[in-house]
Amino acid sequence: MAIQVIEIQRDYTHGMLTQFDEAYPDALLGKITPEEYRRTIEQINEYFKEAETIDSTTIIEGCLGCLSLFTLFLCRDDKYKKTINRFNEYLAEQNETVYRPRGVALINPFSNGLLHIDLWIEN
Amino acid sequence: MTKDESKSKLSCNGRFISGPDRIYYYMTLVMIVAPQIPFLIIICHYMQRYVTVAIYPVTCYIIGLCVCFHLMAALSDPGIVPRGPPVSISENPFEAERDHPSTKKVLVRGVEFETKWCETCNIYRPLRATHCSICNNCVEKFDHHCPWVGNCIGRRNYRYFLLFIYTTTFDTLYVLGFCIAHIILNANEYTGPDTSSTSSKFKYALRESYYFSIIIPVYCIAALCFVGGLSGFHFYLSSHARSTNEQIKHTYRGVKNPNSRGFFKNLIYPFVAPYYPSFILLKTKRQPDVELGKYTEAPSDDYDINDDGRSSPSLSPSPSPPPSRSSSSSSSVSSP
Repeated sequence: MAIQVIEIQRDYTHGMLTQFDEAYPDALLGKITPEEYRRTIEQINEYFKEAETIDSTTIIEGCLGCLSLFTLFLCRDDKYKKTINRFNEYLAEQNETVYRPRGVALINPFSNGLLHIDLWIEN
Repeated sequence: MTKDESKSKLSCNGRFISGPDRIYYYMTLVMIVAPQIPFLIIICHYMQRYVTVAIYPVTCYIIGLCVCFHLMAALSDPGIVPRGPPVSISENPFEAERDHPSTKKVLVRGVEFETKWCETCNIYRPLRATHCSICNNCVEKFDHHCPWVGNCIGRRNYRYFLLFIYTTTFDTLYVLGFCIAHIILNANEYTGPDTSSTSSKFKYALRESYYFSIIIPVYCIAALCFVGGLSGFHFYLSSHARSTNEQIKHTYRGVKNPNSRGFFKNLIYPFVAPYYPSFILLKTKRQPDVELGKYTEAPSDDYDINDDGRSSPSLSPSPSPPPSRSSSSSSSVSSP
């Protein structure tokens, strides 16, 4: 069983925010429809956008963290970690329901330093 | 150790990372704490009658802050990018450049930048990442390798480094201020025979403190030139959203810096930035016997930051690196 690996690269058009390219890779033809694929990547991008945007929650957490010598985060997860946990659950759920039954695996981008999302496709 | 291996050191059962030159960290620690001991014993003892006994806990707290932030900057992962899978590049340089270009162009908010291929780490470096030759790793948003901290300064520990230099500058000014106050107040209390002569008052004041009230300020002024200058430089850099590396290489000369959000937002950003997880410690936690700097395949598709060990998937990876790896049609601007 040969495994082909496709790398979905980062999309830097919105600055340094972690976003991934939404273009449909041709190797998924016949396995995953463009609509399903686009929905997955859009939702992944939404999670990262939510995690990395600086809003009032982040500012308060940052201030309290500095004042408490960063011991605050031993007791309580920060916004980024909570959002990434939801992202991990979403990725696992997408893999179980949509991708794996058709012989495709989405590899979590945290394993390669958020450089690219790997797609392992069974041939 | 081969040329491709990481020189970073793990400590405390794989929880912390530091660079290979830890001796300077201990030297800096001694240079910060040692002058404070005579300050606490001699100067504070005299000053407490003017500013209450609270001077002791406040001084200890400030010293504690400096030491804590120094420790955090030294032991945290700066944002080391994990090694990529080994790639065979042909010997022929023309074929190599055609199949595997050494730089890729990327558009960031309309401004074009280049990402380079790192031969040691086997990856196209993320934007703003640079390879540190001392630690032999690519570090995200690489600022510089600080010998006084014994670690690289990158995306994940820039805030600890900034807090360290700002609190050390404040501490230096604090100690300097109290030593000068000690000299002046003592000089005013001179009740010897020659009260009109300032030099004998001055000598009396110095003798009262066993000459520490002149040694410590001289040391502080020398330290202030260094740490204060560094603080001012980093204040300037962070207000422009540039790293030291980018300043030296003039990456944003002539172009608008796409990372700049405005003066005040840039200053606040290092302290409120997201707490990215350490990619390299995620790997070493899952596979404790793996060496730092070796490429390891993703064993399963979930990389839980809390690492509670989920079940492995049905599509298991092959033991050797998969034969074909290709990039999707990427959004990068490829020059024709």
